[in-house]
Amino acid sequence: MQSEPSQRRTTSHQWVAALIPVACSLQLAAAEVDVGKLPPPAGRRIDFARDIRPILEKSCLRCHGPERPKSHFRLDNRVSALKGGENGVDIIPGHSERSPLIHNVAGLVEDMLMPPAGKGERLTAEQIGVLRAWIDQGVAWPEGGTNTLRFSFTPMVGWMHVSGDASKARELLWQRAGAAGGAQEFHFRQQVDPDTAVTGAGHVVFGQDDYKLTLAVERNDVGFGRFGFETYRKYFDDTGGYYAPFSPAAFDLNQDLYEDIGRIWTDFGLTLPDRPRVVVGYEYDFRNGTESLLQWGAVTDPGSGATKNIYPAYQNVNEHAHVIKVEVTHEIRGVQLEDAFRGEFYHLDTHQVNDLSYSLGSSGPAATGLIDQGYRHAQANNTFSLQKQVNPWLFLSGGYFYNRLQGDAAFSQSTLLMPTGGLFPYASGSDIVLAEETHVFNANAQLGPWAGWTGFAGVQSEWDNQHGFGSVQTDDADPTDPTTFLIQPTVVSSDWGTFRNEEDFGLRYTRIPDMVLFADTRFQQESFGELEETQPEGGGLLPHEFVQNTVAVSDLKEYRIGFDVSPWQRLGLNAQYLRHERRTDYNNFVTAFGLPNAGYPGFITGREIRTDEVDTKLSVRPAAWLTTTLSYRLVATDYRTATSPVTGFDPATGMLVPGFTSPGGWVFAGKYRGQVYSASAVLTPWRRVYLSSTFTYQPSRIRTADNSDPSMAPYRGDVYSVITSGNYALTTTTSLRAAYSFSHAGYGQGNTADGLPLGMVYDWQTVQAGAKRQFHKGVAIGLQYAFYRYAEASSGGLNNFTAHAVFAMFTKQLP
Amino acid sequence: MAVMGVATALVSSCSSVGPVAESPLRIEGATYVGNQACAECHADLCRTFPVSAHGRIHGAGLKFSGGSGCESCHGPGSRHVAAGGGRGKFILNPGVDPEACFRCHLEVHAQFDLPQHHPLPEGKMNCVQCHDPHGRDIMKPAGGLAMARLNQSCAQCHRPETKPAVFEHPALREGCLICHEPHGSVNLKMLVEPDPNLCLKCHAQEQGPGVRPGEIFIGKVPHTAFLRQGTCWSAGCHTAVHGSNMDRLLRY
Repeated sequence: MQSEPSQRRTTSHQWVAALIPVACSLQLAAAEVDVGKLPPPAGRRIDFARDIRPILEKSCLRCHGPERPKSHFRLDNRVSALKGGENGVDIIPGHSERSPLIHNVAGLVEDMLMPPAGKGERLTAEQIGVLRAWIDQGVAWPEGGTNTLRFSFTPMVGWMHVSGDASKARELLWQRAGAAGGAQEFHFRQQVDPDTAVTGAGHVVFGQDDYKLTLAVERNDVGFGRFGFETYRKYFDDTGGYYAPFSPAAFDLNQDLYEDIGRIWTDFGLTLPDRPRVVVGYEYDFRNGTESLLQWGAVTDPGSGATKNIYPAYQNVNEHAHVIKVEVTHEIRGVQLEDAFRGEFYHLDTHQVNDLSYSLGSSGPAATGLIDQGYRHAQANNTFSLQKQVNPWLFLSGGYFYNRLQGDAAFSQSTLLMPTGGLFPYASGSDIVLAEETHVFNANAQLGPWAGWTGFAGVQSEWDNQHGFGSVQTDDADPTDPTTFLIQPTVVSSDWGTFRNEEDFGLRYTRIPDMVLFADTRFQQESFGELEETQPEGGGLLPHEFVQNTVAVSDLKEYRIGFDVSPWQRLGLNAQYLRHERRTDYNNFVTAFGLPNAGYPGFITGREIRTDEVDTKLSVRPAAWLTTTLSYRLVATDYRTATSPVTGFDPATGMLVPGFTSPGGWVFAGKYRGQVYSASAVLTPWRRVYLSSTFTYQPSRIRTADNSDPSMAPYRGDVYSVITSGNYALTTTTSLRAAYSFSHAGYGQGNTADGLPLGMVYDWQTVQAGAKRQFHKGVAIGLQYAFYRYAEASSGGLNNFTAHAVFAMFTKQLP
Repeated sequence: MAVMGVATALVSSCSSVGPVAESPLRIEGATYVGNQACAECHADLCRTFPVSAHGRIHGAGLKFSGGSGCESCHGPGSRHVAAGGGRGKFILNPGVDPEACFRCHLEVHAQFDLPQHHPLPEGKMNCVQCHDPHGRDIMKPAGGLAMARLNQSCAQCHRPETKPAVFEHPALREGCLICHEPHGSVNLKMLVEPDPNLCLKCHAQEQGPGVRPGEIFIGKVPHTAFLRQGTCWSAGCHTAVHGSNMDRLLRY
């Protein structure tokens, strides 16, 4: 309840200075007021919690709370309240009639009525009298203030039993079977003084390798230091694909596949008043472990001669990134300026193992592909942005982003032959250099509201350049047969540049009662140039010789229009239509050894993707205790591709015939149709009960140009799911919760005879039930049981599992 | 850890005014105060909100109670205002708990309940990491420039898939979502299709007179036998689907 200096008429009060020296040295002042107009102090003993805190919360803390207090005057604790703000002391203990706070709430100072109009109701004479009595009685403030500790700690123990495919179970449940325990959650806040707080939070769950810890020290108007660490484990099933006619129909790696993913970070900030806000930070990101891959290997049935790619593959990953961040934010003459720098040093090593040749009945793959890759880069980028509210109807913002990356990579592929264990190098490369540079400019304007209209316009221009170069050893032979290997020293290189321009426009109209109308558009034009080369070192006509020079233009258009209407508290309806279309035309000049117009790359000359989407949602609240929502979405996407003609040999004449393999031109490549039906209901028939249920049904299908071939089945089916939960408050201290979810996917494919069915058919159920009881203030226990059942018919039941889990937790809170 | 998340809700609070069930937007003792009260302190967020994606369906004149405005996501704000604000103080942060988002985005909730999903229900991620709920472009993380850059959200975590390569897969220019479903999928690696249809919806061509019936040529190479074996990216074929430093055909 501080005034602006220019608005306050002041006189000095030397006697106050004698009582409060600090205040005296500043600008203690009180308005020239007629204290006779003040309501008299209440004639009773004041209780802060009963009498004062409700007044402060209702009328004062909205502006004079701990967060960004107006005039830096806080009324959430005694120390700060007595200290005053930018304009000096406001509360003089024992002398309410001389306290500017009382003068202001009583409206005795011109233009200084507190709370101001629109920020709260004016205090009554009785409330002012209570405040006066509180000040006269010494400003008793028995709660809050300094050196308070809030603390919560929830230790837990749990156990999960899995029957069936435990590997699949932990992939889907993000936890492994067996015992787990630790602290499910803890947090504390030590308020050292009104301006300084130390906080911490996190969880530590042993047995699940799930840890998180954050610590922060913050002092208002000075700065902060923050530290954090978190890591969790992601599991992978080690089973590959499934092909029913084979025996066995699927293979396991019998490996423990998981990755530990996490980061450590620290930030230090300066938040001095009226000075630039500066934050300097460091972050270390990591990912270590072994993950499954979908690059499944070939399995051959010697009997039938059929080969299907179902043998599981995996990859060891060692990924590290060191990130340095500097952010500076400041406001100068109403212009908000921000600069954010980010430097990154990144390192990635992978070791990939793929089966190349396995025969049913043998002890293992006869040939295995081993691929080792290394990559590192140093990257720096900087974003500078500024924004300003020019006037009530115009807001401008803009910025510039610059990015530069310098990296190098290495690659080595070899074939491991069994049972001899012979290791044969296949392809390799080191000192592959990669560089990237990006410039982005962005400018935006927001206009309105004016007569119900609000609009925006934005433009963003982006230049991207990338360069890649390497001297490598390549091979085009059969990787399973080292006798065919023909290692060729080769130079690979690519240079490409992109200019992308994007324009966004949007309008909102709110003048029609109870309705929002909107229309948004987005346009993007892209021009793209690329030169790719693969040239044998030392010359020679080998299969690797290749030059492709591509110039492409791409045009994206997106239109969205819709409305939201809600004429009554019981009904809301919105709908929108979206059209998204993008067309890219490639002009390729390709020179490659072999046939002219020899197919990929530089083969696609055009691509068009067009999507139409309709969304609508109806929300109805027929009764105060029931809210229902129905929604529907239709998505239709068409894919069209244009190619160059491909010359082929006519076997009848032995001649090369242009267009013999493909005449080229546009082809309808794919058609996707998907719908989503959703219905939900939230019921609160009694205060004790909360029920929520959502049902979703999603049929979809995609057909591609080659689905006429029996090996290429269309991908079509549906997913339906139910998610329901309920809470019941048995008593004020005991509550129950139950939840059930179910999903079913029916994307089975019938191409077993001619292809490899890869569609998914499964049923997935989860049941959870729990109870919590609070014994007395700050102490509670909870019990939780969960049941999971997963049945995957498309893998012949090999991935099926059932799991039971129980958890118990205890919570202690202070205060 | 999903079960533990549920358990957390169990131990979260207790009513002092008689038994009251827990619910997603409930803040004990709080009532709705309206957008203007929020704007007094959060002017930076409120300034551009009307032209944001959420601004299309949130308007001051709409009457559906609890379905529009700041408090439809953050819960009733009276206690937050009375306490003078503060991060997480009597206010909900959907950036931490996605339940507020799921109230409206029903289909997204269902996707996150599918077997393959980003670990958002497990508490390892949140919606705001990929989406800016208050800004003009919902498809970018909060902060930075006003419009999303291609694949920017995904590249934050998926560096190996988005790092530069000598020979890039042009599909990345269409965006990661041309192949992946970002919230959840029935398919491994969250693919939109798990089979060669994923590739052939772009890599199609008119088969010429020299191609025998039943044979599928891609480029100049007959692919029928390969397609009958499985996917395009398996068995040592086009395994470098995100880009290769060695091979222009992304085979390794």
